[in-house]
Amino acid sequence: MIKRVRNKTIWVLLGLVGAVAQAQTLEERVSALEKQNDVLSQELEKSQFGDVLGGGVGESVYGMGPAASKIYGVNQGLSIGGYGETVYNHFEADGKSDQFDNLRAIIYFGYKYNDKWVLNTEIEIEHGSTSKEGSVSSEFAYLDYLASDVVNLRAGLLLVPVGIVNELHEPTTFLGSRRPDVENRIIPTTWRENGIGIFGELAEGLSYKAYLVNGLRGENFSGKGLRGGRQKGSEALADDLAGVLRVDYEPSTGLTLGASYYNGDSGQDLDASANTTIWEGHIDYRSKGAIVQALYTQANVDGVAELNREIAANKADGGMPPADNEIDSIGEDLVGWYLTLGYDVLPALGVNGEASLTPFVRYSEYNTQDSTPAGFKSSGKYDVEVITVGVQYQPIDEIVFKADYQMYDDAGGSGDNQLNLGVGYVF
Amino acid sequence: MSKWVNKTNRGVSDGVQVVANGGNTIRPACFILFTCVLMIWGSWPGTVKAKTFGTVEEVMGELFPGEALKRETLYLDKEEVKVIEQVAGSTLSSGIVYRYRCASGVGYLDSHRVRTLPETLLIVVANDGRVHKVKVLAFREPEEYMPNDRWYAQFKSKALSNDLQLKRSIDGKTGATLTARATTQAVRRMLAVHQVESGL
Repeated sequence: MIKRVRNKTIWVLLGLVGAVAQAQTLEERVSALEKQNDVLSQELEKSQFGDVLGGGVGESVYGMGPAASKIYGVNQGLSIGGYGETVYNHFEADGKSDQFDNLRAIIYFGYKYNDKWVLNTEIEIEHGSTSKEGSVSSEFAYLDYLASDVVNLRAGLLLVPVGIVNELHEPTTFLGSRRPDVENRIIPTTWRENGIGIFGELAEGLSYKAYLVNGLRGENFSGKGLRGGRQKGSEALADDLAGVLRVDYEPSTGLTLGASYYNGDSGQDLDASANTTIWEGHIDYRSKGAIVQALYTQANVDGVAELNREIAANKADGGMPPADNEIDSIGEDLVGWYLTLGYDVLPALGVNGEASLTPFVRYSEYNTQDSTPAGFKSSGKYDVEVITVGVQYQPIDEIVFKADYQMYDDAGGSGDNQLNLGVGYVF
Repeated sequence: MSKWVNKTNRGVSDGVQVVANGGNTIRPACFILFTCVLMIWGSWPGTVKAKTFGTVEEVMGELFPGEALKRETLYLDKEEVKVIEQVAGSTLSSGIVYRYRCASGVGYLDSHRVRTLPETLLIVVANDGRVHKVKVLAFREPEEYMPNDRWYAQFKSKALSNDLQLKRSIDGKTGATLTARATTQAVRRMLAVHQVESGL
């Protein structure tokens, strides 16, 4: 078909050239040249923009019809991208080794089967090598059915839509070499579970996501938080499921107000139900060179005393389980918040172009044992205040260099400060 | 069945077993029912309007109803390309530019890479040389990287000036920085073409 159409075009052009050669008058020659020029420009246009031209104006009189011209604009289904970050940490505490880590190298593959069905996947290599401390994971892998602006369907391994960073975690999207501590300790970023859901935009600027996912695994909760309970889509126990709802509202360009709510049992194969609720509210504001991000989050786990004892008994493996006051308790309530302020100074300095230089400061507080059941141990070392000051430089939007200093202060008196240097990229 | 009731293997009281069994048999059923409802709702014809970007004709027809549309090809020489690139601050992919003219404005086609894949914009310039509308005609990156209509509306009535830059008169978009940058550059390019071609 394509060959036939090409042949036809060549014959038409040859005919036109012949007509020009045989034209007797100057007027006829100019007219023939204009026609030839018009055909050539139309064919060129279709090769570049064929899929967005209508049937009338873009229609070629002498060449192929609009349907055939779609071959030029045919959408390549495969989309490849990725991101990565390498981070150097210098710890001020004696006896703690500094670290230089190829933290993440991610390959993104997407495939658009047609306008309705789209696949999104992310393959993650963490910490450099599986022969050392690294791992390879599927960070997400889901199919979207794009039905409309209002409601679309999603199924597979999903990023749980809680917080700012969990879904937007490329190194160019957050300030600092390390992700905000609150979105690590309270919201267990990168949090992904298997599930299904719907998402869309209900009105201009008002978007939502509603997912049903496998619940967390309470057996792996600890005094440090709920992070260990992530099942990461790997043969996830699914006796207990959880629901999560997220709403984001953009009242004006650059300002996003959002909130999310997660609830479900986390007992899985334990006797304890360990019903878990995590909710958060967040603000993201970007205007001119200014960046303001703020988030407050709270988590609650029911029946922690029972859960503490059951986990301790399982670990004792038939032996004598420890007494309650020897168990470092999982938090009944976990709470945290942070505020980040950044400002790209280059536009203000009159420097045009893509580069940005953004000093920033972040204040965070979190406590993974904000309340614990009576009689259990609570060390205070998970009640932490963090001040981060730093700067990041982006020569182009896809590349970032980061430097920051973090001051930790915890109620247990074991706070440690650290210097972080990082380089990150997306493509 | 055992997969859903393995809580009962932990030696809890009979009363708790009943609750656990009941809860765990209902949940998978809910899961399946929920899936079915979503699939039927989402794929039912006519229930929802599918997302479309429109063609050049459709967009220009909506913006300027009833006005005749004329296709034009601009052939820019080296000097003109140089001037346009200097003013715009980015490179033109071709010296041939396609535009669609109505009595009230002219729409320029610009196709460029966003991340690894291209998008095509129709940048409509009013007769006063200011942006009338920026419309996405094709977007091949995942749609998460595409800003909403409100973001594109920022360009309305903008003229080509030093202020027409991201983080100046155009605010960025969280999670869609590369699209925001590419779009702003395209608007600057086509406004520069319009200026050169109009002898402004």
